[in-house]
Amino acid sequence: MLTYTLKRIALMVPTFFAISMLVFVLLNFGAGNPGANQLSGEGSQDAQKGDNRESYRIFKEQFNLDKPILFNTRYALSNDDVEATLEQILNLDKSVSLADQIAARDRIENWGRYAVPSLIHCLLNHERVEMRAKASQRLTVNAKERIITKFTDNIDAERLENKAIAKRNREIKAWRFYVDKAGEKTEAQVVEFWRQWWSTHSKVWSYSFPDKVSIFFTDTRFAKYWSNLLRLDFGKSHIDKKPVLETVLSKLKYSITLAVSSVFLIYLISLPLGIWSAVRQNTVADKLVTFILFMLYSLPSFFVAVILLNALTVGDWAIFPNLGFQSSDAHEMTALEVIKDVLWHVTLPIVCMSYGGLAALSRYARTGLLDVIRADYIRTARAKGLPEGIVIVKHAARNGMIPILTLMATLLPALIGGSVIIEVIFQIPGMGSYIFTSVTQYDYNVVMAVLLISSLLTLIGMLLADLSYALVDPRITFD
Amino acid sequence: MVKEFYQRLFMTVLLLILVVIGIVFVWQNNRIEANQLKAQKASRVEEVRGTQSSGNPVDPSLWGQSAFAGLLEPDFTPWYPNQPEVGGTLKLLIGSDPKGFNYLIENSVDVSNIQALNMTPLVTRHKEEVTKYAPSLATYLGRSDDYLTYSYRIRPDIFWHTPALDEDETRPWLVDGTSCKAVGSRTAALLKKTQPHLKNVALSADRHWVNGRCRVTAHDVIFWMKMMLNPQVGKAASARSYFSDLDISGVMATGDFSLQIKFKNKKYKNDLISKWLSTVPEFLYAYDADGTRFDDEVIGTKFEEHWYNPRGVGNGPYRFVKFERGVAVQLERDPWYPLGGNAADRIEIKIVKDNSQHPRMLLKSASAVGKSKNEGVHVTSLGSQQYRQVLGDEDPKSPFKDGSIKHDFFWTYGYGYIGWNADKAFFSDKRVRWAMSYALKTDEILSEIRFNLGKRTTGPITPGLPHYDDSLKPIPFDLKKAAALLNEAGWTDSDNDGILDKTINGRKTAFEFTFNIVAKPTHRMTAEILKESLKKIGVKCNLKAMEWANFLKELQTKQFDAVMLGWGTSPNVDFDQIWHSRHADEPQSSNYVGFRNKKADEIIEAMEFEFDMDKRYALSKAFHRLIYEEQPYTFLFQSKVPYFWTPQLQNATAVGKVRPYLNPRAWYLNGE
Repeated sequence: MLTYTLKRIALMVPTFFAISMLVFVLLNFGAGNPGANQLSGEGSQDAQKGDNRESYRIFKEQFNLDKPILFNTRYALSNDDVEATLEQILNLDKSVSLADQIAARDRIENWGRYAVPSLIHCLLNHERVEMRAKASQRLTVNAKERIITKFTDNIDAERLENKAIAKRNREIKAWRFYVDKAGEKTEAQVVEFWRQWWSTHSKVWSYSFPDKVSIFFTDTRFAKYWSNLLRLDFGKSHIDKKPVLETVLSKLKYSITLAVSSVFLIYLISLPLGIWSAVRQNTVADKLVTFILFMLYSLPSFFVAVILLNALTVGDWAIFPNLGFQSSDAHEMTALEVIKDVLWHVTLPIVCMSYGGLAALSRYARTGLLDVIRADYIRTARAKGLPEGIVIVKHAARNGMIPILTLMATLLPALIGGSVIIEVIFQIPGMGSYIFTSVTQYDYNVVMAVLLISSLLTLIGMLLADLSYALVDPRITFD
Repeated sequence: MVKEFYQRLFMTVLLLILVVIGIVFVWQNNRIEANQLKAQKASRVEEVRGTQSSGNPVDPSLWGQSAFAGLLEPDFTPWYPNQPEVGGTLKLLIGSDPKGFNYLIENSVDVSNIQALNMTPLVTRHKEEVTKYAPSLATYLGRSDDYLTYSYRIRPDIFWHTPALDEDETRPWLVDGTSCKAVGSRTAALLKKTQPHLKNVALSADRHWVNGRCRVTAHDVIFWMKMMLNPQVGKAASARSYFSDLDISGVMATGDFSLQIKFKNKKYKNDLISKWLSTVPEFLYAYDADGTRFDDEVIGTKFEEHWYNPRGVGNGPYRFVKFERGVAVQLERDPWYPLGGNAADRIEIKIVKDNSQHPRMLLKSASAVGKSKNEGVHVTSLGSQQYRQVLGDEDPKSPFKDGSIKHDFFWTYGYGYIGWNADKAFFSDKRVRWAMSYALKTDEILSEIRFNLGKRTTGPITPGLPHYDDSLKPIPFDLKKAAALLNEAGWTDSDNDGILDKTINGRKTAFEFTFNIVAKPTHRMTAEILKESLKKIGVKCNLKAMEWANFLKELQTKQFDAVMLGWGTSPNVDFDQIWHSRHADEPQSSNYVGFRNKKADEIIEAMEFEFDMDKRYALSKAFHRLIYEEQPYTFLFQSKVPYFWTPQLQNATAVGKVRPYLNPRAWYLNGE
C-alpha cells in the first residue's frame, strides 16, 4: 500500500509538470496579450511616444513577457537578424506592412541585451545613416540593465547595486543621434562613445558553451515561472499586482462551501433515492423517478438559476436574496445570525449546483444495491427471518454503497470547475468568478494559478479515490 | 439488567442537561454579542456624523474666502435644492471589480466615479456651466502673462483620511504619524533650499500632523506629478503623454500651500491640463509596508504595485472603508470635510457583474421601503436591453409600471460611428463613403435597435456643445442616391453578376468588403441592417464579429475595410489625436481610417495655439463642416443612458452634465 501510494505520488510530479507546460504554452500562444490592455483604449495613441513605450518595456520585463516561451536561442542572434528587423521598423522603401512594423518593434525590444553586439556592429559598420541612427537609439534602450525590484534577504547590497545600475543606465541614455534634426550629440561623438563602451563591456556578451545551455533552458518564461512555482510563488496578478496565491486562498472558502454542501446534498438525496429505486426495481414509481431525474439532468444550470431567481427572489414569492454570499452588514451580526444569513444566501446556488448530480449518483446507488441484493449473504439474512428493512439497510446498503463513496473524491474538482457559471450568476466571490474575470482580462498568472490548483486537486482526488477503494473494501489491495 | 437500565437513563438525562445548557449558553452569548454590536454601531454612526468633538480643527478664517481669483470662479449652485435629510446608507451599483484605487493609475469609469466621492479635485467644473471651473482644493489658479507658468494656492483645511487597514494589519508608523512627520521634515528642508524667503521660517516636522490625521499639502500635488512622470508607472502613460510639454525645472512647491508648474510652449492644451492636477499622499505611497522609504530607482515600480493599492485613501467627502472583490466597496462620511455634498452617512457600492441582476437589485430595494434590510440598490443605470425589458413588462403591478421605481436619462459625451478605411480601394473616394452613409437606415436603427436611447450626430463633436455646427443635417436613408453615387464613382455591374465592380490598376475588382465589428448584439444587428441595404445596390458586405482583443489587433494594424466603434469625449474639443494626417501612417494610432486632409491639418494646428473661445468655436465648426463633407466616418449617435431609482432616493434628478454623470453627492435618503 505504502509503495503504491509513493509510486502514485512520484508519478504525479511529471504529470503535473506536463499539465503546467501544456497550459502555459496554450495560454502564451493564445490571441491577445496582457500588454495589449495597457496599450489599448485611450492609451492607443500615446503608445508611440518614447517614455510610454519605455513603460510598456518595463512592464514586459517585470512579468518576463519579453522572454521566449520555452527555449531561448537569442545568444545566437546574428547581425543580419538585427539589421533586417531595424530595416522593417524604419520601412525606408515603404514596403513593410504596419503589422510587420509593429511586430519588428516588439521583437527588437524583446531581444533586450541580447541584441547589443549586433546593434554595435550596425552602428559602427552600416553604410546607411538612418540605420546607424536607429541602432544608436536602440542601444540607449537595449543596453539598459534591469533594476532589481524583487529584493531577497540581501536587501542592502541590492539597493546599492540598484543605485549603480541606475547610474549606468542614465549614462547611456543620451547617446543617440538623429538623421533629420540636430540632437544633443553629433554622430561622431555618439559612435566614439559606444566604441569605448563596447571595448569595456564586450566580455559580457561572449558566451561559453555552459552559458549557452543555461540561457537556452533557463532564460525563458516557462523556466522563470517554474523557478517561482517551486517556491510556491504563483506570481502577481497583472491587473491588481497582488500575489495570486493570496487572492486564490481568500476565495477558496466560498467555492469550498458551495462544493462541499452540494456534494453533501447530492449524497443526502440520491443515496436513499437510489436504494428506494432498487427495492422497487422496474415498478412504475422507479421509472417515474428515473424520468424526472433525467429531466432535471438535462436542464442547464444557468437556465434553472434564472428561473429560480425570477420566481423566488423578486415579486410575491421573494423569499431568497438574489445574489451574494452573505449580507453586507454581516460584520454587525452575531455568530448565529451570520450562519443563518450565509445559509439563506447559498440555498439557491447550492440547489442549482446539485440537482444535475442527482441523476448520475442515484443511478450508481441503484445499481450498487442491485449488485449485492442477489448475493448469498442477503438470502441468508432473509432466511434467518430478519425484517426486510434491516436486510436492506444493514446488510445490503452497507456493502452496495462502497463504490459510491469513492466517487466523492472525483466529484469535488468537477464541482469547483462547474461552479464558474453559478458563481457568476449568483455573484459568489469564489474561484469560479475569479477565473472568469481573469480570463476576460488576460490575467495569465491568475488563469495559470487557478488551472494548476484545480488540476492538482483533480490529481489528489483521483489518488484518494483509488486509495479509498482499498480502505473500505478489504477485497481490493494494491500490493 | 436493571442496573444497565439505570445507567442508560442516567446517561440520557445527563446528555439532555448538557444539550439544554449548551443551548442556553449559545443563546445568552448571542444576546451579549448582539448588544455589543448594537453599541458599536451606535458609536460609529455618531463618529461619522461628527457629533463628537471631532470636527475640522482648522479655523477657516485663517485663510479667508477672499482668496478666490485667477482662472477660477466660485460655483454658487448648491448641492441640494433644500435642506437634505442627513444619514442612512446610499446603495449604488457597479458592473465589474475595480482593479484598484490608486487613482493615478486606475482610470476606468467605475473607479473615476468612486474617486469623485473619495477625493477632492484641485479644481472642479461648474455644475451647470461645464466650461467654467470652480475652486475646490485649490482656491486660486493663476496663469502668467506668457501663458507658460501656472500657479496654485491650496486650502489648509483638507486632510487625508485615515488609511483603511485590515483588522489584523498593524502599521504603527502610519497610525502614529511617523511617515507624515518624515515627509514634513523632508519638505521643510526642500523649501528652505529652494525658497529663499522661507530660509529663516520655522517649519516643524509635525506641522501637518493634526489630531491624528495628515494634512493635504502642495507637496502631495508635486508627488502626484513625480509619479505621473515616472516611466516605471506604466499605467499613467496616457496621462503622461498629455504632459509632454512640461518644463520640469519649473515644477515645484513654493510653500506648503502653494505650487507652480511650467510649460515649454504656449498651447491651449496646456491650459486644459493645468486643471487635471491631483494629489497622492506621499506619507503613504512613498513608503514600504514596514515604513521604510522607497529608493528613487524603484519608487515608480513600487508605487504601481504598492502594498496599499487594493484599497483607497482619499481627502474628499467620503472615506474609503473597505473593498471586497466581487462584493462591494464601502465608503463613509468624513466629518471633517468642509465642502459639503455628503448627506448620507455611508455609501455602499455593490459589485454586480451579471447585467440581468441589475433590475432585480432595484426591485429588491423598492420592496424594502421602510424596512432595514440591506438588499438591492437605490439607483442604477440599465443597458438598453434591460431598459426595454423592464418598461415592456405587461404586469401593471410591476414597480417599474406603478410609479414606485422612476427613471430619467443622462447624456454622455461621445459618439458612435462606422469608420471607412480610406487606404482601401473601396473607400478612398468620398462619393463611396457618402453612398455608404445614404445606405444606412440610421433612424430605424435608433428607434428599433437602440430604443431611441440617443440622438443622431453629424460630426466628431458631441451635439449641444458650442463647437457643434447645428446647420448640418443628418444624412437620410436614400438607396437611390447611394446607387447613383456609386455609379458616379465608377462602380458598375459590368458582368451582370449582381455585384458592382470597377477596374482598379488594370484589374477588375468586385465591391465586396469586410465589416469588422465587436461581437455585441446591438452592433451585430446594426451591421446586418447595413448589409441588407447594400445587397440591394450590388455591394457585398461580409460581417466579421470578433472578440475585443482580436478586433483591436486588426484595428491597430489597419487590416480592415470598415469598422463600427465609438469615441468617448469630453467638453474639451481636440481633433489632433484622431484626425491629424501625421498620425495616419503611425502604427497603433487613433487615425486608423487613414484620414489625410490638408485643410483639416491647418485647422487642427491653428486650434493648438488659439486661446480665444469664440475663435475656437468658429474653427471647430469649420472642422465639423469639413468632416461632414468628407464623411471619413458614418456618424451614428450620441447616447443617452436610462437610470432608475427607488422611492428612498431624493433629489435623484440631479445628474452631472459631465462625468460622473450619476451624481451621488447631490442625493440623499428619506428616513432610512
